[in-house]
Amino acid sequence: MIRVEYMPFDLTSTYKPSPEEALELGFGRIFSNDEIRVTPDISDVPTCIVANSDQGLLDRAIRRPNVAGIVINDSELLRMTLEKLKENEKALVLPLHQITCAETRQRLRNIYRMRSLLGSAFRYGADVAVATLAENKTCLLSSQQMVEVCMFLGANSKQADSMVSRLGEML
Amino acid sequence: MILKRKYRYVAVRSSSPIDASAQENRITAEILRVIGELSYSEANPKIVSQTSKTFFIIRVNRGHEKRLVLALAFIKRVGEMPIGLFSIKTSGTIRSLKYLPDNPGDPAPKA
Repeated sequence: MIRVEYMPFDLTSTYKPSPEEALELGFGRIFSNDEIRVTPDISDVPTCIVANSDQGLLDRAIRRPNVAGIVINDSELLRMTLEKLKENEKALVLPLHQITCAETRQRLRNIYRMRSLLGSAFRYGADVAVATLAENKTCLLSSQQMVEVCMFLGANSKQADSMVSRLGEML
Repeated sequence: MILKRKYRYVAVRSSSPIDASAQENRITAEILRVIGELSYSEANPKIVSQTSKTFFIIRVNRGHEKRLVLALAFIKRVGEMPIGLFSIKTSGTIRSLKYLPDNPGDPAPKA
């Protein structure tokens, strides 16, 4: 089986890793908040990801050209939102720090929620990306670990590779 | 005929310096907490080598290396110390991992 080459990427929240760290962890690049801003509201920055639980706001954000993707905080994902994501070629971003850096009970709840988000996104054909959104060095993951976490959440190996490299396609 | 058990070796980089041999019980206790007793007994992880303060190698039974990589992603504390454990590479031989560079950006040391 021929494996198509892919380049994994990551995005952090407040931590800024060096290019050498990114290389050693197996990433083509780790973007910081300066390059792709994660905001709770629609903003005018060149590229941003909107993280909110308000479906109406997320639906409006999806239509904006500077919004690369959305993060859904603590709420269900509506079918309409998924269809809009697919139409506008935007990505649903899964923040992995919510399952790797959380306390046990919260972690288990987040794993369940992300599994169902991922399953719904795949069912409706929406793009999915993953990022650690790490606030410090301990919250980072290597690219190998990121692929394993994606497969743990229900993706197959091809889908996991695509999720890990999707961030790079956003820029 | 004595059957030789087959292993896989996982190279691990830590986010801060750690004495992996001294902390082995705590590291393996964290792995046990994440994957459970049944998976732990099948995987049988063991720290076999440490080449620098932030780089060590864990041996695991073949077929369970992916579970170990996943478990390391969920471990963010060893004892009272917050730490990140990043799996860099997996191999069937320890030799191919021992010659990874000690520090990011350094060329690999000569064999």
